[in-house]
Amino acid sequence: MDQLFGIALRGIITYLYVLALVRLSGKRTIRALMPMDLVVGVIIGDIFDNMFYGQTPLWAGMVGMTTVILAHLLVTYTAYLSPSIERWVSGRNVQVIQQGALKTAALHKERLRPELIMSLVRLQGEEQLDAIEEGYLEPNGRLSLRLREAAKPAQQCDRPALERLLQ
Amino acid sequence: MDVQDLAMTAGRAVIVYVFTLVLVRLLGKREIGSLGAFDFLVALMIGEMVDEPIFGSTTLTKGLVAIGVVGLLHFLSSWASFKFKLIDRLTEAGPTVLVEDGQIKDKAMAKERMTEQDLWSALRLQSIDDLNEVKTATLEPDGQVSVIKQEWARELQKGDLHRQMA
Repeated sequence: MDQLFGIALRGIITYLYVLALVRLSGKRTIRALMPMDLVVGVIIGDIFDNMFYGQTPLWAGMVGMTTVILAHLLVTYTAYLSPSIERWVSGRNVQVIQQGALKTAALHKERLRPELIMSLVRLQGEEQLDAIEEGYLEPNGRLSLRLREAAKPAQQCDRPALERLLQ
Repeated sequence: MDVQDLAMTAGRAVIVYVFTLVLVRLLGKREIGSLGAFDFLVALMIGEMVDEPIFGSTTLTKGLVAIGVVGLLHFLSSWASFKFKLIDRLTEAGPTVLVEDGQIKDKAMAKERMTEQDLWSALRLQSIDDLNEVKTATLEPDGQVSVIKQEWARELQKGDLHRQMA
């Protein structure tokens, strides 16, 4: 019973501590914007259960977590200051689609089969590559698309053309 | 609370952090975006392995070797599945078409153990409330549902208004 109470208490302390640390490390960590954000999420998640079940002393867990967050703050801050460090820790975006065609060499480098790119394209509501001017695989692993002019959604500025068509 | 012990913990945490960062960068964007099932799995595995070297329940070298080996295996398997379509078929599930021309494909739904409720929740998240609008809805390898709309249901595009562009 005492043990269960201990787990509950450690759970509460750990929870509050992690919450404070995550807040301190900023919004970028929550959205996992970049490689290092994923790394921090993964490490914190693992340390959490150790502290929770008392496999490591609470103090050791707190020191471990805090150090990881401090290292994370240092890395993200230096990356913010220096574009070349940023490029090193985050990587660059890679163009995978150009004028409606897949760039095979780039896919090869990222070990991505064309089928997987097509699945990412479909997730953005496009069925074929024709409509796509450029597609970039961003450092966070998402695909960003620039559509051809004709395939872009109609906007307010297209109203005159619509009115002409209606006349 | 032994200060030297805590300092060691802090030191090991820094090394594990840097090591994991380098590993994730080497594994590339597909790992970060968890584009495939295995990318997700490897992130979970690495996440479960990092605590032991940090707290010294195993030696730093052993911990880093173990994490490094998982990373290496993942690199090799993603490389092999890029090179050989057969391996890709074995390791990654392909996309499954759930809806075709407004008709729910019951067999495909059963195969993916998706209920109609699951499907509708995915469609609502894309602001679709009429199945007729759907040309294809596909369960993609990363677990998300992609929707391609029928030609008549798609949003107006610039090319529809400026004839010369289309």
